[in-house]
Parts: sequence; C-alpha cells; structure tokens
Amino acid sequence: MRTPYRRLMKSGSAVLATVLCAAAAASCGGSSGSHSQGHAGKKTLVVWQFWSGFAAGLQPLQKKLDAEFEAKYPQYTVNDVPISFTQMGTKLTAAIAAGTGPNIVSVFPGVAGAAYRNGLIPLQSYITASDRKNWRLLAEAAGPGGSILSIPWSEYGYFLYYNKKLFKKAGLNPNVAPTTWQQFIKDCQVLKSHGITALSGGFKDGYEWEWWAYPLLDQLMSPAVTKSWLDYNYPITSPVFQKVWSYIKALGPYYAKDAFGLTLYNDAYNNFYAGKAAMVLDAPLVSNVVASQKALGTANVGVFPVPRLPGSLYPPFVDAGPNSGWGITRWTTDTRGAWDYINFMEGAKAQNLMWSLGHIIPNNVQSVTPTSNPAIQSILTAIKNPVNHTIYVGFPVSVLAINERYAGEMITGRTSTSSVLKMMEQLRLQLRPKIVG
Amino acid sequence: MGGAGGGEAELRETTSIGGGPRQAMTRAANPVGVDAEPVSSDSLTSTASSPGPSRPPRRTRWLGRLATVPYIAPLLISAVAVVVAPAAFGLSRSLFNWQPGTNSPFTGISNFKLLAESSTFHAILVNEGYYLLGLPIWTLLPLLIAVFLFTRVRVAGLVRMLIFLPVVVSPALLGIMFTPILAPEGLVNTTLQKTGLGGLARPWIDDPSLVKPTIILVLAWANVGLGVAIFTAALTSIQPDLLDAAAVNGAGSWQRIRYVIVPGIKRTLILWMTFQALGVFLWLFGLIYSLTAGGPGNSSASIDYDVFTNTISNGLFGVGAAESVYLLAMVILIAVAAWVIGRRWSHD
Repeated sequence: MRTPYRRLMKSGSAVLATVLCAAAAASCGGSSGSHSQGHAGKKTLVVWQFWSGFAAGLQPLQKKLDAEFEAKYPQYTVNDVPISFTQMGTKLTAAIAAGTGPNIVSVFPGVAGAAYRNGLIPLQSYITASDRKNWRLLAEAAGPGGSILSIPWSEYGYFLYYNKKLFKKAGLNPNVAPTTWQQFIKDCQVLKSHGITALSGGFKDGYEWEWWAYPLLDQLMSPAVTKSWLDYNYPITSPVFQKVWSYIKALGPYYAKDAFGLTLYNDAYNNFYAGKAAMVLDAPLVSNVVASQKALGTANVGVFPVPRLPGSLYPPFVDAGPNSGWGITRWTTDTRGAWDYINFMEGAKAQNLMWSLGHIIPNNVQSVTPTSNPAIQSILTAIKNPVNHTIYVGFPVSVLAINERYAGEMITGRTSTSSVLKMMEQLRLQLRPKIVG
Repeated sequence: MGGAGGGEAELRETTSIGGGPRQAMTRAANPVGVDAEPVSSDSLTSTASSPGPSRPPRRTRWLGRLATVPYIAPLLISAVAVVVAPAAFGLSRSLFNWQPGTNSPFTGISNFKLLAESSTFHAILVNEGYYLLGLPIWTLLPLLIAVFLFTRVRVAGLVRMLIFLPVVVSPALLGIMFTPILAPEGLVNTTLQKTGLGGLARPWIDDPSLVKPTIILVLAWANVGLGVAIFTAALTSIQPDLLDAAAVNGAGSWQRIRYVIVPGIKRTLILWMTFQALGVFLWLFGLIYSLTAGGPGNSSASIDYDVFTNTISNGLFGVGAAESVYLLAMVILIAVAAWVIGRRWSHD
C-alpha cells in the first residue's frame, strides 16, 4: 500500500471509529437516580417532581412538605429531585429503559401517565373508599383500560387575566369581562383598534396553543366523544380538532407581531405584568394572579373564564383538572412507603400547607383555602363547578410536543393546522400499542 | 510494514521545519513541500534500477503481525465491548417494536419503512443536506484566517488564542448562549435597531427560512478557532522559501493560496472537511437541542436530534434504533466518499 493511501487509511480508521461511536451512542440509553436503600437505618424515597418548578418559591414548599413527611414517618428520608417539566418525560423514559430511577414521580394522570405504563405500577388497589371520598379528580385519573397510574394532586382551571386600565383606555367597560367568544373577539378588535395588544402570548414553547385547545375542545366534545377520546379511540384529525385549531389560529392578529418567537414562560407573563398587553391566558397557580396584582395593582387585574364558543355543548364551566399527579415506579421495592408518601401529599394537612405557602389549589375536599382576594375567590368558586371537566389528560405528552414545535408556525400561517394535526395523529397511532397495550 | 517510500515520507515530515542536507534532498524530490504527494513505494519499486531492500517472506510478515496482537488486544476488547457490541445490539433492536421493560415483538423492517414514508424524516434529510452547504464556509473561513495570521500578523499567537476561545464552549452552552442573542428582541436585533439598521432585524432562529443559515453561521463561529489551529499546524509544514519563491515569481496572495498552500495541506483539508461533514450528522444534537429544539416545526432538526426525539421523547425505541441505522449508513457513505475523493485528490 502506498504511503499517502496508508495515511488516508489512518484517517479512514479515525472516521470509522467515529462512525462506530455514533452507532453505539445511538443505541445506548442513559439513566440516573437510585432505588430505595438503607441509609443510617433509614430508607430513602427518591422523588422526581416537576411541580416545584411551576412558580418561584415552590421549592421551599416542597422541602417543607418532605420535612413534614419525614417527621410523620421517621423511618424514611426523602431525596427530592426537582426536574423541569420539559425534562421530566425524557428522564423518566430513560429511567424506564434502564429499569432504575426514582421511587415516586410527578406524572400527569390518564393517557399522559399511560405513556409511561412500562415503568409505573397500577395504584387503584391502594385507594380506599375514604380516599375516593376525599380526593377530587380521581375520575380523570384512569387511563385506557381503567388503570390508575398517577394519583391527581392539586387543581388548575383555565382563566384569562385582564388589565382593567387598558380595557378602560380602549373604551371597554373594565368591570364587564366577555363571556362569549363573539364578545371576546369583538373586545380584542376594539383593543387592537386603539393600538393595544389584546393578548400577551408566546408560541415558541408551544404551551399557549394547547392551553387554548383544552378549554375550547372541552366545550365542543360531547360526553360520548370525551369518553372515546379519553379511551384513546378518537382521532386528532377529526372535525372538532380542526375547528378548535382554526379558532386558535384566528387569534393570531390579536397577539404581538413577534409572539411566535416569544415564550409563554416567561415572556408572555412578563409582558402582561409590564402592561404591554391587555389579557393573558393562565392555568393557575394562583401565584400568577398574585404576581399580576403586584405588578399592575390589585384593583387593576380582573379574571374571567375562557369564553363560551358558539355551539358549546355544556352550560358555562371552566376546563379544570389535576395540575399534576404522583406515580410509583415498577422497580420500587418498598411500594408501601411510596404510597405513604403519596397519601401524605394528598392529605388535608399537606394540602393546607400547599395553599398557605404556595397558593396551590388543593384537591382534598377537607382542606381549606382562606383568602380575602376577590379575584382568587372567583377562581376558587369557579373551580368547584360540578360541570367542570377536562380532556387534556387524553393527550400523550409527546403528541403535544409536535404541536408545541409547530405552534409558532401555525399562528403565523406558515404551516397549516391540518398538516400538524395529521402529524400528531400519526404519532398518536404509533404510540397506541405502548399506551393501550 | 512500509517500504522505502513510507519511511522517506515520515523522515521528511520530521525534518520539514529545520534545515539540513536531508531537507534539501527532500525539497529536490518534492518541490511543493512535505505535505504534498510523496514518492510512493510502488513508484520506487517500478522505476528504480537497483533492487530495494529485500522483503521478509510472507509467513514471517504474518507472524510479525500476530506478535502485535497482545499489544492491541486490550484496546480491541474495549472497542468491541463499548462500541461494536452496543452498535450491533442497536442494529438488532431496530427490527423490533422495542419496549424496554416489557415484551418487544419482532416487526421486521416496519420501523425502517415507517421512517422512509415519514414526511418528518424527509424534512430532516433535507435539513442535513442544507447544513452540508456550510462546508465551504466552515473550511474557507478558518483557512483564510490561518493563512492571514501565518503570513502577516505580528501578534498572531494572541489572535489565534482569542479565536480559539469559542472552541472550549460546549455545543449545549453555545445554544444557550445564542438563544438570547438571536431572539426576536435579542442582542442582534436590538443592536441593529439602535444603530439605525432596524430594517435588517429578523427572527433569526424563529423563521424556517433563516434558522438553518443562522445555525451554519453559529457553527462557523464556534469551529473557526479549531480550524485555524489545525490549518496553522499544517501550514508550518510548508517551506517558507516556497512561498517566498512564489511571491518573487509574481504570484499574488490568491495564487499562493491556490497553487502552493492548498496543495501543500490538502490531506489536512480533506480530513477537516470530512470531520465537518460527519459533524453535521453526528454532533449537532447539543446545539440544536438548546438553541432551537429542532424548530420552528422541524425546520432545524438534525438526524441525531430526531433519533433522540423518537427514542427518548416519544419512547419509540425501535424507530429510534432504525433511524440510527440510517444515520450509520449515511455516515459510512460520507466517510467512504471522503476517502475516495481524498485518494483522487492525492493523485492529482
């Protein structure tokens, strides 16, 4: 072999090594975390949770809750690992692939939780009659096939906050919020005609689109369709999705021109707090109401539910459901201890702490939510409406991720909503064996 | 293992910077510098009138090679355990609906078929092709800077060090760093607006038509330091008097680059371009993940990012494995193409 060729062969060998490394990297999964283990006579419960990242100041609350649990169950130590919501799915999937990781994990109930079916244990056998009586939202917890893989914990509901000063500036009555979609659009037009950005939003992280989708889909899905959807049998390409996606796309002109490049977290909120737009959509975390009031003045912030669409199939209600849930992983040996942790977090004592320290709406009917704030009182009243329901628990998180990636494209009209819905449906069908079994 | 040509070439390389009779001899045989095509062993054996050194019998040569096995065995075993075996495992898993932790039924080539029919996968292949258009920039920019610093700048070392700094930034950090810079209300657009150039402000990473060129430029910025360092090292192997001679004979800057420098460092150039091309398929993940998350839509997604999405985000491990097989095939194709092109160029 001639010398230059041999050198090239050496280069080729380096390239081949790179190639093989790529193949190896592509085929290997990663994982982290640990099992329950003895530690100075105590057992450790490893908890992966995303909820303490939802708002500033929640991590101390989680630590307080863990400390209360450890005081009640001195045989346990809690190793609490805060993980961002965007990272949780990937980390949990990797942990399931590796067969090791946390003992207890934040995961949304229903279909969202069923996507991790291979790594979570069914919890229905742990739930007592008393639990069923005290814990709201258990109806939303069951995934396709009836298995409960995640126990709902805390509540949310979709509301719009509005800046009364900007409403007044546009000649709108600041004390009368729109209740119908037509009135809402009309108000947006009036605000826009006065040079005011009607909606503060950001589509880069994609959540804004789906936050509109849930409360609008809720209104147009009959109970039968809702059941079919939650059983993983209803296609995303169906007319009701097409219609709702069109409604959302039509909101585009009422956002700032660069909203497609901004994020909901936290550009949209920061812009609303700064008085740059008249309304913002939120799923409270009541702490965002408090932050709005702090920024704009308590009297200047109003709250109203997502307006009723024409043809809504229900009396007025809000899309409300579990803000997150707790699951136990399959590799956990001390499932009783893990269940004790969940049971504690669902209890009235822990949930009262959640409300008093973090403004998180409890789902235990025995907990109390004292407040003198009229805006928060209106949210708490609306949350308890028995007509409330939600369909978001029918979405696998990874299917939503497609919509999130394309949200900015759809709001600008660069990508059609129907093509995105088609992509989502393709992935939904691919995931079917994994979710339904 | 090599014949006389190989030994000669290696010797020439080691003596290329200093002077001396050996170098003079080399120059006479090889006027374009040491990095250019050396005299090969084949040409020596075919043209020399006197016979070369006698070669040991074939059996002895094989025994000699076998004797090296114990020395490389630890490396070989490690490579098989860490690289080859997992890769083979990944290849085999691509034929299953791979569900770690539960049953994984055999599905044949359905994962491959699914990808072949996927519009997302097609879009990602187009993205990869687009990124390859960055090769001339990623090569010429560091080359020209290296030449400029090599020939004209007094404080070249300091400049090289400053240019090299971005290389130590990890791709993920690079993405995090550039996100606020390239955001609609980020540093670039704000600066443009403040300097009266607001008309040039664009959503650099939020517009599908701009995001790929923007990423190419970010990569150029990130890699230029390494390129300058590598090309500078290669340039030191060119005889300075060759450049001087070219200048005396009236060659301008461009002609010296074209006819002296590029031929003199062509193997370095080939290797650099090969690794840059491979990088488009293998090393974009960190930057894409942290800068654009593949978006808007899938307009900036790379294939390694999509392997991650399918495998970890979607939990479709079989599809991810199949996609990694496609990736492997593409990388092998590029590596072979680069090797063939390199061979031909070496002949020229």
